[in-house]
Amino acid sequence: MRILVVDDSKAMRMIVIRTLRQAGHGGNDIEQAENGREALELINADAPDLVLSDWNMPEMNGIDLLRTLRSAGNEVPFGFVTSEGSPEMRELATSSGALFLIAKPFDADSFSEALDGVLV
Amino acid sequence: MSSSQLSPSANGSPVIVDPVVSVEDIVAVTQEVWSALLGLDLELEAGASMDASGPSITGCVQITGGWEGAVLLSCSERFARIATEAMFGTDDVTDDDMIDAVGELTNMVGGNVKSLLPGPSQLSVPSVATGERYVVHIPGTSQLHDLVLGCGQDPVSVSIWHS
Repeated sequence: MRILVVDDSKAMRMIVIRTLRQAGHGGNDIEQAENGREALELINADAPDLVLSDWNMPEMNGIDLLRTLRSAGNEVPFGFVTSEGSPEMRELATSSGALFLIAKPFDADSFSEALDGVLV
Repeated sequence: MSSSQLSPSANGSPVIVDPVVSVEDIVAVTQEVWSALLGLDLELEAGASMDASGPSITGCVQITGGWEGAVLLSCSERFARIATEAMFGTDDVTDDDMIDAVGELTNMVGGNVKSLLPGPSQLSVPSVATGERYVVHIPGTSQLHDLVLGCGQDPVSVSIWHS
């Protein structure tokens, strides 16, 4: 399976990839994008099986990326990995079409819990 | 350290203003980030101040909307390198990597603090300053908290500014 990791922080992209490995999902192909605009291009080109996206990013943030995808009819499984884990943000994520929101800081267990049933 | 702050009233006498986020909240948020990402245990160093000499790095995120202000995180360049190596999983890190790492640590502390504040509000992407003997000014704000936390390495400061 192909997973797209979207975050403007290179450090955080590496941590997400490391945590995916720790959660047992290291065998998947992983692509990276620095912002929503770059992610949109990669999603249209490569059709990943899952998008893991930060919320606040320059050029195009995560919620705008998700809304753009859904309004174009793209139902790619999408989850947020963000420092903003309030109930309001979770509600906004879900109502916009995200499957889950993993709050930073996180561990392998929170990834397993969110991704079980999404990645097979 | 008291979780309240004294501010001057119109006639100059002090007025206690209770911030919506407490010292305990800020310490807990920062401890969680340091533990999860860096494997370090942080403790509040009440009454301590940061060493202003030597190269340092400061990250800043701004919060706008239901609550307006900023969260700043400062550390020595020496500690920033240690944190960056831990986050990247290698000791081969660049100055740009350190800026990225401190920005992300600030984003995490700031984002979690934002979750405790009145909403709805928006969190900015982090800005990062590097250098020696500089002072960061957040126009139109006053400082609610200025905490120093230690972990056996160089300390880190977390400050909250409110419009």
